[in-house]
Formats: sequence, structure tokens, C-alpha cells
Amino acid sequence: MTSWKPNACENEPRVVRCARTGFWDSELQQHVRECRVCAEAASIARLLNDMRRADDAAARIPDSSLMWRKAQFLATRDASERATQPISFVERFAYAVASVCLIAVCFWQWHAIRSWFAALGGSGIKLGSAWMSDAFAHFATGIDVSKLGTISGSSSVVFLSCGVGLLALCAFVAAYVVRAED
Amino acid sequence: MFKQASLTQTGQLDSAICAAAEAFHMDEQTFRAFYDATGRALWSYLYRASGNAALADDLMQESYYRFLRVRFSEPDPEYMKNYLFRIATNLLRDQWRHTKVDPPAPATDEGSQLAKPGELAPDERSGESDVMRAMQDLKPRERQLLWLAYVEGSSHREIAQLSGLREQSVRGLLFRARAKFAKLLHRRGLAPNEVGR
Repeated sequence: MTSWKPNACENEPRVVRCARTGFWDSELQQHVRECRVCAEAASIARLLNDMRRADDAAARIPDSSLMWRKAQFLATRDASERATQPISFVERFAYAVASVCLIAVCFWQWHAIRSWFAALGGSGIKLGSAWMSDAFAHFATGIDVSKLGTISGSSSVVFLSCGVGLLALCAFVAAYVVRAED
Repeated sequence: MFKQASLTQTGQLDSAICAAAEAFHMDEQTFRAFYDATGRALWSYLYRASGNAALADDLMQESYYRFLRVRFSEPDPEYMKNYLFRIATNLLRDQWRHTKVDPPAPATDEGSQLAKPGELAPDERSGESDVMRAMQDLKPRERQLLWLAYVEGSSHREIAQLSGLREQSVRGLLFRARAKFAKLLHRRGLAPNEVGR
């Protein structure tokens, strides 16, 4: 009954079935003694089924009611996600549009923003230096901080850079929020 | 306003729960019977094919969830079981694709990578650790094919359907996997030709 092919035998499915169940008939047992392929298949089937039986005895799989409840929970969660999907989409869209608008306004009103920052920078430095002079005078340190006003011309560039950095930070935060929503 | 909002949210949740219940093709009693009949076999398959008990737990949960969402034209238990195993096999394949590799256990590891702490420890079972280590030396695909063929009793055609391979490929791969496993068992002093005598 042994097949002429070295790697196949027509009795192999029967042999595997017998090895799985443990019920052998004498004819098949005789065949297994003579057929190398079937002997190997039977042996491996027996070993693997021993492992399976060990799993059956030792594995602690969840109770069926728990599995059902988990599946219901997952289905509810998925349904909720599907229901809120349009809202999430609109939120993400709004974040993206707001970011784009902010950047567009910055480019569009660049000169106005620059002059505003320059004005803010000059008056800010003057106000700051005055406040610091008062403060240092109060503590009698003798430091002349009014000289700080001399840097007000170059400080507008610093303030401008800070503004651009702030905008970039806003854009980054918006992008992060959009990504976090995903 | 808050009350209105909470009522709206409750309504949404109720409708979501209803949608979830409708999403399943079988009722709880039928599912429980099906689960009791297939749960251990599926877990064992996932565990032995993946070599990871925690992963087997996760994949089993996901398999049953996906299975419950499928609508079968005829409730044939054998077909449904095969379908469940097909889902599990696809999840395993996805897992292997994501992780790219499934590192075999070191030879000195006594097969402990397959076991959860306090559960299924191979050393607690007589003579199984060698078999487990030999299993771990196989590729995941080889473990999967051997398990389906020799434990689940799936035919080559069924394995081909489950794994997405061609039937001829399954035949060749299964033969090579079996030969490799036999060789590994021999190396560990387990003679694979003594059954049925």
C-alpha cells in the first residue's frame, strides 16, 4: 500500500486520524510498521496531540460569558467610534483650517505684524528698563540699566523671531493635536 | 443644557449598543455553545503557532469578535469552525508581518518562552519540554501547518484555504516541516517512528 513517492502515502490521512483518536486497526498498524512516511506522520501526530491534550488540561481560557461580554464591549466601542467619526473628522478639519489660516494671515499681514512687533519691542524695552531701574534703585545696587534701552533697535528682530517661533509652536501644537486625534 | 447633553449621549450609547447587538450573527446561547466547543482548540492552535500565551489570548479574543461579525448563510458548525480558524490564521499572519521575526527560543531556555508564569510550564509535564523546544526551532509557518494537519486534522485543501497558500505548496511545505520536526526530535533523542507498533 506504500506509495512509490518517497514523501507521500495515500494512507497518511487515515493514519493521522487514528493517531489523533488513538484507535488503530491492525491492518493500519501493520502498514505503519512498513511505511516510513506513515510512521513519521503517526509519531508526530501523537506528540502534537499530546501537547494539545496538555493544553486542554492546563490552559485557562476565559469563560464563554466573559468572551461574549468582551465582544459586545468591542462592538459597542466600534459602533461609538463609527458614530463619532464625522465629528472627529470635522474637528480635525477645523484644526487644520485654523492652522492654515493662522499661517496665511501671518504671511498676508507680515509688514503690519513686523511693525507692530517693532513698536512693541521698543516701548516694551523702555518700559522694562524703567521698571528695572526703579527696582534696582529700590535695592540700591547702583547698576545703570537705562543703557539697556540702546539695544531696543536690534531687539525688534529678536521680538520678531520670538513671534515667528510662537507661531511655529502653535502650528506644531495644532499638528500634534490632529495627530493625537488619530 | 447638561441634562440635554447627557440624554443625547445616553441615546447615542443606547443606539450604539443596539447596533453592536445587531452586528452579531448569533445569540449568546449559541455563541457560548460554539465557544465551548472550539475555544480550547483555537487557543491551543494560536499558542503553539505563535509561541506566546499572551498573544494567543489577544488573538483569540479578536478572532471571536471578528467571527461574531460575520453573517453566515448556513450555520454549519464545521464550516464556522474552519472560518474561525481562518480568521485566527490571518491575524497570526498579520502579527508576523508586523513583528517581521519570531525569534526561536534559545536552546538553553527549556521552552519557557511558550509558557505563562504558573501556566503550561513545560517542565511540569513529563517529556514535553524537548518536544516544545523542537517546536520552537521550527518557523511559525511550519508550526502552523503541522498543527493544522496533525492536530486539527485539516486536509491540504482546508489548510490551503486557511493559510492562503496553494494546495500543492501546502503539500510540499508540510512534508518539509514534518521532516524537519522529525529531525529535530531525533536530535533530542525522541525517536519519531515508534507509534502504532
